[in-house]
Amino acid sequence: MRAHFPPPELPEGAAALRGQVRAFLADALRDVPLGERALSWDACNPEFSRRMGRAGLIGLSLPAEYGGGGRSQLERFVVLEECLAAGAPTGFHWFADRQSGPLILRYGSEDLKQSIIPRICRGELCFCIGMSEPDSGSDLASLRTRAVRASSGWRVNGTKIWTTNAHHAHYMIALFRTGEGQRRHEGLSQFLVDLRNTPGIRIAPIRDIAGREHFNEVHFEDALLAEDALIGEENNGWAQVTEELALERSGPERYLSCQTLFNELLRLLGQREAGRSAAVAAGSMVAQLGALRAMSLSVAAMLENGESPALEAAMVKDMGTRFEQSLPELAQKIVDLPPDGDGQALPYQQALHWMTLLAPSFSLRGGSGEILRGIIARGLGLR
Amino acid sequence: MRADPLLLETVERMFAETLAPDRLAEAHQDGGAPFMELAREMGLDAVLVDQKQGGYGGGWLDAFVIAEACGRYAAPGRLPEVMIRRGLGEGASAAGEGISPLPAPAGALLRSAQMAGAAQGLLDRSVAYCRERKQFGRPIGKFQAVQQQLAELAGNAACMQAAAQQAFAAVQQHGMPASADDPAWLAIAVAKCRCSELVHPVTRIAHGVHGAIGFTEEMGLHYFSVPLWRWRAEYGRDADWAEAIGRRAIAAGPSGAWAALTG
Repeated sequence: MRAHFPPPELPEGAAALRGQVRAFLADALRDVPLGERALSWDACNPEFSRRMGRAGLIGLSLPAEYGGGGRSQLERFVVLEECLAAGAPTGFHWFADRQSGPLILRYGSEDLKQSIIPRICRGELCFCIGMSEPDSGSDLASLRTRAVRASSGWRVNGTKIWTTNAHHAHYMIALFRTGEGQRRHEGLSQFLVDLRNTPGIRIAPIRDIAGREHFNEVHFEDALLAEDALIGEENNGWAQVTEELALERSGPERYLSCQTLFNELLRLLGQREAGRSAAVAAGSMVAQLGALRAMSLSVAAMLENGESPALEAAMVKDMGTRFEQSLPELAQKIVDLPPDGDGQALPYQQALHWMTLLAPSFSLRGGSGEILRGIIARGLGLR
Repeated sequence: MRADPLLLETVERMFAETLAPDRLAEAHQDGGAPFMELAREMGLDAVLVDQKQGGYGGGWLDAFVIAEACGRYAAPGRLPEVMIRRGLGEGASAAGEGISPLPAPAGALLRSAQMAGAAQGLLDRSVAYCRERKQFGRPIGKFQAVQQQLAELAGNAACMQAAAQQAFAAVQQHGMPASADDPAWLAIAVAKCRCSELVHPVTRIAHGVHGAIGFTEEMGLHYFSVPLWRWRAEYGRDADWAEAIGRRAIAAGPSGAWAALTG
């Protein structure tokens, strides 16, 4: 198989939409401190998400009948990249907008669509994704948390871990074992878990190396889920999750996580007399951004056309996270200011502080580099 | 905005037949005159020439198809240069002898497509070789260490392809830039910078997985890697383009640089 990245064309309304998003962000981000903007889609800000929802900028490509914008994936791409470039704290609604909304639209019952999707689009709901478990990380198919049929619904026992935003979330889209297949990938199913109204669920935040609490351990102890908590087909979870991962891996958040740092770096170089080596380094970063954007935008166009560009998505994420991770390192090579997380420090130093600390997370979320390159190798026919 | 699928198919068929790996050495004898003759008969050199002037009347994405294929199949002769020259409305001998250098942006644009093609050619060769060559009792492509290398090569080749194609699309949309202020300039700069930057990892991996046989003339990897090493520096090295991009981005500031990138 050969990867293809056909050049996409942004639709008619994209330029006007971009202007609208920029105007919205200029206003909405006025009082958001730099430390929060540096975290970008890693920062949870329910107030900001509601504001964005009111502006009609969440669920842009979900159908209008469920409160969405009814526009294309490419137009949604414009909103995402503008938010990331400006360092908007979009974490509260990010997963719902990116994958849980589309998943419910595709596999949810009519009742579920009507009750959940409009609230996602209003920026009221926070979702988390329950995939990894203590003994199942890269080897996701080995997961053991089990949902068994009970008199009225499903009884769940087990533990999910590294669940980003579980402590803020209203719902989790979880992958549980429901049956025994011939292969490990069979017998898995996806569920919608109401985290706030289900007894038997315990959420324990885990502090990360930056001192933040953003991911969690989620324990299920005889947690009872209603019959209709099952999303999609019973035992078809692996196929559904694989589709979801194409959405998860190819977006602009895979190369724009450090954009606030990059912006502050450019600003600083503009204030100083930038030498040749600094200009070369900055230009190379712009070139990498431009090429990654071409790849990511092309994947968005393929998704819009109903194609399944899993190979291309893996390439975007592998190259994109390497680029993101290299930015704090490159910045230190051309500017002689140390990272400093103090809110009074230079914006550049604050951004450098946060991105130096967060960079290791870029390659672990959404699949490690080794796993992604394994997927690419399979696409090349080597496995 | 896509290339003509019929052209794609025609080019693919002709190139696969005349430039098959076992015929490549022969095709490269005497400057590749028979290939150039065939390409001219098919009108590939006139793909950018208006139909009224007897050309094919294609766009820049069609030109990308031909230039990329020339790189991917290691075509002999100077078909891409003749094609661009004729597209810019300048005369060129059919065989491309004594052709003078192209204007800088057009040359950089062309090289990016050829480099993307040559990288893909190296990937195709490397994957085929690693599936065939056995060591320790199995094809070396079964080893994860080798798979990870080839996956990286594939990602780099894909990045070159996307950047180059984006540049051709920009020229198709906005025309060939006369200066760095014109809209298609940045896309060309990005493409040439990225393609040049990736020459080293791409050739390092392709030659690496081939071992000693890849260093022989007989194996033919040099039809791809040697041009890549030359093209890397032609019409601006990566550092030259990066400096130009960087100076403009620094002068424009964060929002200006972002606006240029998303223009």
